[in-house]
Amino acid sequence: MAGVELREVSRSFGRHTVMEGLSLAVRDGECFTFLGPSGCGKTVVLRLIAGFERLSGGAISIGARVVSDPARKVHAPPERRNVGVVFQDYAVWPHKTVYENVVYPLVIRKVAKGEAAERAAQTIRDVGLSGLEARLPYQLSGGQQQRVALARALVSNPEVMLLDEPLSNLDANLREEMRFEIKDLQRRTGVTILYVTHDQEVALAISDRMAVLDARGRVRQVGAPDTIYENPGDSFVFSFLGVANFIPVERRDGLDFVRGTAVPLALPPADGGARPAADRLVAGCRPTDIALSPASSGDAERHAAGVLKRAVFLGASIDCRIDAGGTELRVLQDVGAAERAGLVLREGEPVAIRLHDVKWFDAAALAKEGLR
Amino acid sequence: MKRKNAVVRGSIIGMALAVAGVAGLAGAANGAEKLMVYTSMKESLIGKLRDEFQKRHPEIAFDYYSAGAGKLMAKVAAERQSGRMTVDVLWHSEVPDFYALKRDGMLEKYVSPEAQNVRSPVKDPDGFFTPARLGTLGIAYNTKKVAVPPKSWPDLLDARFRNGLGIANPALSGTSFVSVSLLVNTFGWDYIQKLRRNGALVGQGSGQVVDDTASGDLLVTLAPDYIAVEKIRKGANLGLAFPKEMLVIPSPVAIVKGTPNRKAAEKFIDFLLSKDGQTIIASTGTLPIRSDVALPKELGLASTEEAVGRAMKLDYLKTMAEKEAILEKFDAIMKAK
Amino acid sequence: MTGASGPSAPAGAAGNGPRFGAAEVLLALSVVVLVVVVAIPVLLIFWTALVVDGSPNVKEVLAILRKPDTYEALRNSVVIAAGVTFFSTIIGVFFAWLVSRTDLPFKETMKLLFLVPFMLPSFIGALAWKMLLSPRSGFVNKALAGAFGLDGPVFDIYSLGGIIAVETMYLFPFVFIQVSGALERMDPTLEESARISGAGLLTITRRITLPLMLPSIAAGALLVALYSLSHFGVPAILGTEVGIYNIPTKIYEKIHQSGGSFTAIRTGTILSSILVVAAGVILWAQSLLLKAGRFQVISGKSMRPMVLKLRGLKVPLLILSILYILVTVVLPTVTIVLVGTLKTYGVSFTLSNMSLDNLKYILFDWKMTRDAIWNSFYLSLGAAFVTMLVGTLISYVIVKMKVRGKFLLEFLGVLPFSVPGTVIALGVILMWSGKFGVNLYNTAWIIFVAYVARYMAFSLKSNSAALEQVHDSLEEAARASGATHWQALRDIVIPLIKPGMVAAFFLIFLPALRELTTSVLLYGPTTRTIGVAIYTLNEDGETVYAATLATVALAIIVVGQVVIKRITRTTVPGDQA
Repeated sequence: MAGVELREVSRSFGRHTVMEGLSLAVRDGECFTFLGPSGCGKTVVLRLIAGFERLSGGAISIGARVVSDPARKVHAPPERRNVGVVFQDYAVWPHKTVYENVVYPLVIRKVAKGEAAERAAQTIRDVGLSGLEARLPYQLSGGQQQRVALARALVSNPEVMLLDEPLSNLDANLREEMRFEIKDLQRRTGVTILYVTHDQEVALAISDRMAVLDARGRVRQVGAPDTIYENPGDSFVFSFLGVANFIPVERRDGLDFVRGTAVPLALPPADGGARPAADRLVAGCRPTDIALSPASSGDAERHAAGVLKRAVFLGASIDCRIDAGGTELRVLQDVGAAERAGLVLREGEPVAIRLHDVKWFDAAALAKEGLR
Repeated sequence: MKRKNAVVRGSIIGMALAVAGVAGLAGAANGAEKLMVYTSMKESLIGKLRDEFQKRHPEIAFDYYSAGAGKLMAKVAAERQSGRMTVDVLWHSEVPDFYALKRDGMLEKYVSPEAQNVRSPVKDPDGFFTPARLGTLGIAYNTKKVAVPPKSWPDLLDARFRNGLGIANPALSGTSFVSVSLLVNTFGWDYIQKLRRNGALVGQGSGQVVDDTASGDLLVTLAPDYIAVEKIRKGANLGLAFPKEMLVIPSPVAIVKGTPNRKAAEKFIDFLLSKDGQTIIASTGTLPIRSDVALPKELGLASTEEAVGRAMKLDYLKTMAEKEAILEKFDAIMKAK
Repeated sequence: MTGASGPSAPAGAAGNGPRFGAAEVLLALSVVVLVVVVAIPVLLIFWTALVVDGSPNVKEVLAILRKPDTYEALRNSVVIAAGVTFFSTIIGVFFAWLVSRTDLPFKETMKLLFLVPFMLPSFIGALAWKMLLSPRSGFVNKALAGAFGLDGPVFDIYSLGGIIAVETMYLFPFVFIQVSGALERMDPTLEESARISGAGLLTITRRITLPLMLPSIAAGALLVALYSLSHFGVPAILGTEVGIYNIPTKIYEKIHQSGGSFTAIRTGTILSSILVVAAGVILWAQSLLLKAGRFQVISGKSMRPMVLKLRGLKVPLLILSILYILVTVVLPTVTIVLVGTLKTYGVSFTLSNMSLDNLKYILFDWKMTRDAIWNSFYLSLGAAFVTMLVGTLISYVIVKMKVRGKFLLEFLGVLPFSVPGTVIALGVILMWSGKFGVNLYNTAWIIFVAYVARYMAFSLKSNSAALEQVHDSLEEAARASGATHWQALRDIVIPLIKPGMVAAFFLIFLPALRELTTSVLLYGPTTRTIGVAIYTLNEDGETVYAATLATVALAIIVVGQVVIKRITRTTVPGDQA
């Protein structure tokens, strides 16, 4: 097993630069996710590591070995990098049976026949495809094809597994199941996994550490999922990791108002210290970080007021859209809590808003991101 | 496994195909002695000669290319240009061409021991070419449509042959070119013009006009004897008539300069001029150049001696010089409305 | 060794990972093949046409073009192509509409039947029609004259009209295929919405259907024009006898009758240059039209189109369609087969005049015809195999590889599509007659090289279509599994595009088997092809043997088609990527 190190990696196609100066170190045995919007070049990173693309600059090493370094004219072809790759479209060979697909990497590496058969069978068992060895891919479901692809990538015990959005073509249930299985496989085998996705849920669930990339391919933040979720480095990361409310805030006479309105903003008491001193800020919060209460309740003037525009019943919770002085907020209101608070949500009625967790962002930086 | 077999089978078939293809291209048996004859004689004549010759000389890989004299000469010229000569022996009926080839130093000198027996209106005193057959051209007519066969050349100007006479294209066919030259020399261009006014047409090769006459597309045509005879024997609706002034065209044979197969070429010419060779020629319905070979009686052809006597005369050297002019003039007359 | 045998199959070389790019090797090979086989010959044609003694000479070009016979050939080519295109379009569109938009009985069968004329080589058709419709002796003319007591012939096949008619019979499927395909794919809601707004069927056809079909119609028509413009067989059989020449037959006459003189070759190259330019323009127009058409007619699956009820016309139109097939396919075929059994041409069709002797003679006894069959067989086999492999290689580079200098290949890859057979033959003569060190004149190799060039377009089309179906990740997955570029090609790409390669093979093999246009300019004493043999037999007045050999050719074609059907049917479903 081995780690992967990217140093100042850049890649451009003609005049179009996809990636510039990307540096990262993926630890040995880690499940590392590249999370970013589509078109951000995260797939290119995988392809650069796999050797399908050549670097324009910088260097990549896998373990102790430098596999790409254009300055020193080093470019190991994909077949010499000892990586396993799982493609978004599975790329299961349609003319080979499940067994033939899985055993192929061993055949190519000239593993002795008996051993190859044994290892292929074991891997097929590991991914739960026993009994389907003789099937051709067109006889398999999407999830089964995905497992074939996984098995094929795993069978030769690669140092690193590269997974390119492997779950995006599966339905929600399968996706969740496969997510666990991938994680489980990684724990069992200890292989280093580099995982590319635009789905923050998968990224949060699966990663030991992750890198969030913006649309231009720059790394915004690297860290453990919970750290990043809790302490997003900037508004982009915050918004990318989940539904985000951004409330422009204005401080007047020591009090915070929704900007341009007379709606006062109720902040969590503990937050006083974290709030930067600037006058024009943006408060970011998740839909679950907002509590609603009836507008008529006693502390109404201490809390921001808004009007309920729409409420969609989701079962355990209600998805609400609230107009707070021209800013639309999304709030996920727990049904039980609402009942306990005597909150009756009727569209068009005013509600009081209280924020329990707030991340502060600079208004100017937010505008630059094009988020608001 | 079934699929694997399919792949294996596919590959084997593919390889077999490739091998067959390449083997074919590489083909061409490499006999010790080879001989390639370019001739305007049709398969019915040259094929029989080939069979007999092969019997006598199995050591020679004999092959021939049969086409109109015009095409043969074009091919020879093209080969000269490309520097890759395939032809060893040339045998066709456009006599002037042989004079031209001799002048250009394109022929090997060879006097066959059999040459002394040759009877012909044309002879090369220097021995660069030797007539190997006396072709005669008669007037072939469709027996279903022509009740009374034409007897003389002026008969063809008769209204009953209006739009019904075909002449092979003299640019393509050597016999046709010499025939036209002979007619012009004997009757003048005026005769050709009158033929055209009676709706005479130019066809393709000398074989095709005969077939067109047999089918009734043409009523009458100038026909090389052996071509008409072969079709008559097979039952075609054809008759063959010879006016008093005969079109007698010797077909010289010559060895092409620089051939690596000179020995084989000489053997072939000797065979061609021999009594056996000439007997085969006579059997197909064309005149032998030897008087000691008899013609099959039932054909009603004139004997060699008689034909030479009745033959229209031509100055071949002059004709050679005027070839282009003759072709152009003929073309102009026949294209006129 | 010759240029054609140079490129070897990439799949075979499954070495241990080449250190310096398989990519570069493949690209270089592809470029070399296309340059040597197609680009240089075509350039040589332009060069010979326009340059005399190293300096451009336009004056002489104009002088040659002004000569009556070259000018006439040009005019005839245009007239024939225009006529054939016009009538093929009308007939093709009509029958396409009939089988896809009406309630004509046996529609599916009729649709297949309308494709049969495609299989019949048009020069064999011309041969048959010559027998049927030549002024005095044509069987049909004789029958008509007999029936009505006419004096003169009813039809004269030896005319521009005759040439146009015969070419139309065998070329209209180009339009038929394009239009019936488009009619099937057309979104019927377009027509329905017009109908809802009150338009009558005629108005809908005129205002909606026809305009939507125009790109497909035009694309089919241009294919016909392209083919007819450079077609040799029919004008050669029906035209030259009465002095009607088009560009290819004029080139043939020049090359075959003028002793290979330089003026003749130059005239040929000038006429060829015109053909190339014309073909280029036609293809360019076609690509524009097809691009436009793609947006207009798309709809997902085939839907139920509006069907016109023919009512009382149902039976008459069915009879018309069947008659058309009978007259254009069955009648000529039967004529050829029957004439092929006659003792000699012109005798009546009685049993005593008919036998299989001719067949025995040309198959076993006559070396010329035997050679011709064998030559055609191995030439088309070899050409199909090599062209298939080279085409796979070139398509692979164009479709799949990211490599510098690819644009050059993309440009060269278009060339084979726009170079007519006559032009290829002439270019091959210029290139391989010893001027550049290799002399293939009079050998089978020169025909082989010409076939490779001529049929490269088919191979490229079929192979790139197959390759586009194979997603890049399939090959990358093999690389990531440890396979070298060569191994990935051998184990993944080649097996997956095998159906495309097989298709390419037969797309080349069958037409090459009956090829005439190119080989008629290149054949030597021992290298006649079936097409050339039939043609020269006819020219030499061996009409009966020409018909017998044509029968053999037809039999081979039918067997070939059946074999293709078999092979394409047994393809494993998983093989289609």
